[in-house]
Amino acid sequence: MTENEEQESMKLPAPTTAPLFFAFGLVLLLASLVTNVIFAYVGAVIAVLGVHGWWREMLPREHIEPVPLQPVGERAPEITPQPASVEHLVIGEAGHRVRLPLEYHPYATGLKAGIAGGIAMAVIGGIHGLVAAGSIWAAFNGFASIVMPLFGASPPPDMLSFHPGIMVAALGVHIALSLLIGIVYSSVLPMLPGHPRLWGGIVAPIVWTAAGWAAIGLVTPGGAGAVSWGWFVASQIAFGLTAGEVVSRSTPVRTLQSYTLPGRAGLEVTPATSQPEDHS
Amino acid sequence: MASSEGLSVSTFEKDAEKTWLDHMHEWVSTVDHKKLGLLYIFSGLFFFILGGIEASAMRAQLAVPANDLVEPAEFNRLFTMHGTTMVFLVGMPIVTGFGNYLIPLMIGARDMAFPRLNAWGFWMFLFGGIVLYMSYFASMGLYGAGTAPDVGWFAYSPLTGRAFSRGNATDYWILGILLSGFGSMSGAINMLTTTLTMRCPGMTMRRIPLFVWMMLVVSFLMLLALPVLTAAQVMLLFDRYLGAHFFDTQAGGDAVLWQHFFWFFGHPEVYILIIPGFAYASEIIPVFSRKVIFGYVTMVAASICIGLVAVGVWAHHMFTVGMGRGLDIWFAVITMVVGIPTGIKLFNWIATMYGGKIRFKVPMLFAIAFIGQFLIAGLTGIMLSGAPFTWQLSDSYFVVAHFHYVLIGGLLFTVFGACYFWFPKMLGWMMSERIGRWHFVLFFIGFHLTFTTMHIQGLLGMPRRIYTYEPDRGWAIWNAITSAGVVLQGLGVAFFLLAIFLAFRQKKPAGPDPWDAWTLEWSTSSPPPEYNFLSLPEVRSRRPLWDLKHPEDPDWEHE
Repeated sequence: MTENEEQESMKLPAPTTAPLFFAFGLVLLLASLVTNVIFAYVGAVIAVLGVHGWWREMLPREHIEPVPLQPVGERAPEITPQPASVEHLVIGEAGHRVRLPLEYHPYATGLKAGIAGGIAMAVIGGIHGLVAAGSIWAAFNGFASIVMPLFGASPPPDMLSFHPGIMVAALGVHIALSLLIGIVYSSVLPMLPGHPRLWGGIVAPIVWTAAGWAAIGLVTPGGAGAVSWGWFVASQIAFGLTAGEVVSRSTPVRTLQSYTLPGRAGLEVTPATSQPEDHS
Repeated sequence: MASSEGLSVSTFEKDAEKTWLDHMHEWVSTVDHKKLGLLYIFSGLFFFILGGIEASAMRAQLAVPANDLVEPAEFNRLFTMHGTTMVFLVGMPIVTGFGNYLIPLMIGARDMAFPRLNAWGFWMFLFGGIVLYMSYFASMGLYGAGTAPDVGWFAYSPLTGRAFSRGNATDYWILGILLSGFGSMSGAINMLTTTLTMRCPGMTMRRIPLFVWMMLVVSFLMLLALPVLTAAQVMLLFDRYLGAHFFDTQAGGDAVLWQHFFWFFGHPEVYILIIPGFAYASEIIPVFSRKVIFGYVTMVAASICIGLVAVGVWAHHMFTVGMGRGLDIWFAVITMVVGIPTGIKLFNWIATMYGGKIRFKVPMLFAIAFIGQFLIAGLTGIMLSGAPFTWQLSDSYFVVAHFHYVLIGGLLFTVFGACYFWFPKMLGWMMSERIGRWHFVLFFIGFHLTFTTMHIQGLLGMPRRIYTYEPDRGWAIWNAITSAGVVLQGLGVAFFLLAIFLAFRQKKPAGPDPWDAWTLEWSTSSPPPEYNFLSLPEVRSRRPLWDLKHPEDPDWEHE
C-alpha cells in the first residue's frame, strides 16, 4: 500500500466559470462591431467580472480542492506480467519474409552514381538537341520546364537559345534529381535479385519512361509534343547503365546486422558471417 | 483503504442526487483536461455534421448539369461555410481535443500546465464558431444584406473590401475565426508547456510517445502561423471599419499581401491538421501490428523537418499570381522537399506492419486506409508543387481532390481510427466492432467514389466553386459518381454516430487496457479518474506498459 492509497483525496485545481465569463465578455465586446454598441458595454462588464474571478482563483493562493479517490474496485488493476509471448526476429529465420540489408553502399557511392549518370544523361540530351533541333540548349530549356512555366509563358522563350536563368534552373533540377536517384540506386540495387546492371540500366528507366509517357499529356499538355521518346529512353538508359555500373563497382560496407551482439557493442571487431544460418 | 471506500460511496450517493443543472455546471466550470478534451472533440463532431450537410447540399446541386436546386449566391455561402467550418471548427478542435485529453495521460501528468487557460481556450473556440454561424441569422436581421459569408474560406482581397462585400457577413467570418484562433493559440501554449515541463520521472524527450512529439511540433506550428492570420484579420477589420488600406490596391495597399499573410498561416495549417493524423497512426499501427514502431528517432526527425519546411512553402498556393520565376522555382523546390520526411514516415509505418501479427480491428482498418490515401495525396501534392502543373490545374477540381485526400483521406480517416481506439478509454465503454466495420466500408467506398473521380473532373477542366455546368462539358457522369459517393459517406457517418450511441446505451465495459497497448494512458482506469494516476508513474523506456507486461524482455534493455 503506497502513501497515495492511504490518502482519501487528491488536490486538483478547483472548477471555475471565470474563463467562461472572460471568453463570453470578449466575444460580446467584439460582436458589438456587427450588432450594437450596447453589446460592447455588456461584454466589457462580463469580461472584467471574468478576469476578476480568474484573478481570485490564482491569488493570493491558487484555489485547489480535494478530489475523492476512485473506489478501490474501480481502479485499474496492477499490470501483471505476461511472459513467454515475446518472439524475436532472427536473421535468415526459415520461412520468414524478412530480408535485411547485411551490406550497403555508402551514400558517397550514390552521389558518385548520380553525378556519373547525370553527366551521361546530359551528354545524350545535348547530342539530341544538336541532331534534332540544331542547338545544344534545346534539351536544357526543355528540362527547365519541369519547374518553370516556359510553355505557358507569354511570349514563350526561344527554346533554341541560351538563357542564363533557365540554364541555372535546369542544372539545379538535373543535379538534384540525379543525386537523389543516385542515392536511391545505391540503396535499392544491392537488395534486388539478379543483376543490378539490368535492373538499374534497363528495367528502371523503361518503367519510369512508360509512366512519364502516360502522364505527360496530363501534366504538361504544352510540352507533350516536344519530347522525342526515342532519345528520351536513350538518355534514361544512359543514366541507368552508368549509375548502375558505378554502384556495381563500389565496395559495400557491412551493416551492424551482420555483427554479433558483442561486436555491436564494440567488444569484438571480427564480424560474424553474413551468410544466414541454415535452420532446416 | 476503508476510509477511501467510504468516501467514494458517499461521493456516488452525491452523484446520484445531482440534478441536470448540477451536471451542466460541472461541465461549464470544468478545468479538467479530459472533460475539456471531450468538449473539444464532441463540439468538433457537431460542427462536422454541419459542414457535412453543407457539402451534401453542394453535391446535390452539382449531381446533374444545369441544376437549380441551390441558388448561385447560396452556393457561394455554402462553400465558404463548409471550408471555414471544416478547417477551423472541425479539424482544429478535434486535434486540440485529442491533444488535450491524451498528452497529460501519455506523459504521466495530472493535468495540463494551465488548466484555466485551457478552459478559456475551449470557450473562445466554441463562441467563435457560434459567432460564425450567427451570421446566418443576425446579418440578415440587422442589415438586410446577405446572410452567411460568401468570400471563400481564404477570403481573398479585394473581395473582402467594403466595396465588394456589403453588409457584415464577412465581418462575422473575421470575428468567428479571430476568436477561435485565440482559443487555438492558448491550446498550443498549454500543450507545449505541458510537454516540456510536466513529464513524469524517467519520461525523457527520447521516450515520450510519438503522439506527444508530433503534437509538440503542431503546437510550435500553431504559435508560428496563427498570430499571422490574427494580425491579418485585425488589418482587414481596420480596412473595413477604420478606412485603412492595407489590402486596397487602389489606395496604395496590396491585395497580394493578404494572400501572403493568409497562406503563411494556411499552409502550416495543413500540417497542423495532418501531423496529428500522423500522430494517431503512429500510436495505432504499432499496437495492432504487435510491434514496436519502426524508426522512432527518424519519425521524430521527420516530424520536425516537416514542421520546419512547412513554414517555407506557403507561396506554392500563389503560383498563378505571377510572383516571378525566381520565387516560383524556390517554392516549387522547397515544396518537393516535403516529400522526403513524409516518405520516411510512410516507409516507417509500413515497416512497422511488416512481419507483424496484424490485427485488423476497426482503428487499424482506418490507419491502413490512411497510409494508401495519404500516399496518393502526397503524390498529387508533389505534382501540384510544379509551377507549370499548377498553371494548368489551379482552381480546378484536381486541387479540390488533392486537399480532400489530405484532410479526409489523411486526417479524417485517422480521426475515425483514433475515436475507435481511444473512445473506450475516454468513455469507458467499447464501441461496436461490427458497426465500426460498416462505418469503415461505407465511408471508404464513398470517399473514393467522391474524391478519386474529382481528379478526373479537374483534369477535364472543371473549375472549383462553380454552382452548375452545361450538359455538353463531359463532366456529368463524373459529378454524378462524386455525388453518389457523398451518400455513402453520409451513411458511413450515420453508422459512426450509431456506434457512439450504442456505446452509451449498451455500456459494454472497456477495462483499462482493451487493446493490450503500451503507453501510459492504458495503465489507468477507463475513463481515468480526475487525477489520472494514483501515484505518478516512473518509466524506463518508450513502452512502459510493455516493460511491466514483459519483465523478461523489457524495452529499456534495447533502447
